[in-house]
Amino acid sequence: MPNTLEERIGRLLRAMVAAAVAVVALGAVLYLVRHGAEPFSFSTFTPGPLDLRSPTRIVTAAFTLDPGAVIQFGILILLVTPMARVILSAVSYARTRDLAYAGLTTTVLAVLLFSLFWRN
Amino acid sequence: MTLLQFTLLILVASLVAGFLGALTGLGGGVVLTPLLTLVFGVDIRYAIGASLVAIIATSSGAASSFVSQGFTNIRVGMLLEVPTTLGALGGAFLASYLGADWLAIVFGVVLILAMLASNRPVRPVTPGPPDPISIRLRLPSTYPTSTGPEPYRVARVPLGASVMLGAGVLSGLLGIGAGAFKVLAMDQIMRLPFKVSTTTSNFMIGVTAAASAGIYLSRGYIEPAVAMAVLLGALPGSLLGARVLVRASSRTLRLVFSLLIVLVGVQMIIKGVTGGG
Repeated sequence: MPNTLEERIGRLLRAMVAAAVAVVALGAVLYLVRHGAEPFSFSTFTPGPLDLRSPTRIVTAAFTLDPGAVIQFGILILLVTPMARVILSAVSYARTRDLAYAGLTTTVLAVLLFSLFWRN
Repeated sequence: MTLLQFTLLILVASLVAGFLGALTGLGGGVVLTPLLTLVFGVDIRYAIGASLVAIIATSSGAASSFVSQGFTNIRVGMLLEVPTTLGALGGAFLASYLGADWLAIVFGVVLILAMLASNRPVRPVTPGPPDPISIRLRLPSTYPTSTGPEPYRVARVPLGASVMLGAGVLSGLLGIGAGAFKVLAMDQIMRLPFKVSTTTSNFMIGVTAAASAGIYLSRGYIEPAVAMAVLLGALPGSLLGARVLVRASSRTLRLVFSLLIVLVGVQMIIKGVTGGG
């Protein structure tokens, strides 16, 4: 793979991380404004509401500026960042007719998509 | 303590953890989870969720800058991402079958093993017999040295891939990067030069972590209030740590930090055994 493609991928990944951090920071401010003065406990685990666990519902809830959902939306951007690298690499391998590597990267992509959209 | 105070404390602690992790090259993830569980009393599932998120953020940006230096073997990385992501997926499922106490015990043991692996003496790798698979997949490459590009071979691909599957399981089970085990598989088994192994390991960590993060999200391990503080602290901390020039004293610092982590590992095991998790 040419170095220039790698540099473009690198710039895209850094931009996505920056966007994710900005959204999480916004969510953090909203969250602390609403809940900052409250007592809390994270010592016992509860799965929490589905609006903070399902990718599609996180996106919907984030647009209502629900503080927790905005944070999760930023985290969702982070989760798809490595996926962007895999997709771009798969496309590049397919273009150069490197079928073995196009297959390998597509397999990795399938695992990542399964993880994100799997529901029990 | 209010949530605001808690958030600020976690933020500062994560900043220091991320800084030390990057400075010593041992990774911030290994101390974030014990910090949250042992010091702040956070349930280990929230801790590994937050730590995994921070790992994806720190590795996604940093890995691409190593690639441009010419050490990273992208083809080896992409090949081994197949076993690490499959392993991570399995590890993430496995995590929900282990209770918090068992997770703490396994975390402690893995922490100690990882420190042993990270501190083994680095000796020049003797090239092994080239694996026919590696030739077919065009894995052998060159890496930059002071006397120009130096070619290297790639040995024992199937065995290396099997160890990578195990590293993936640990990553998904415990929310860590498992870089120490990835490096072990590449330099000891596949006989890649050390610098190639470490940079290729960094290249793979974000993708591996993303494979378990989706499962963590749906299981509710990623608690927004914990994750935001850890992410917003650990990312600037590790960026800062990676920028500080490596000096001779950093070897001592690395050793001290490793010993500290081993003690933390023992604490995690005690916490798990006594049921404090």
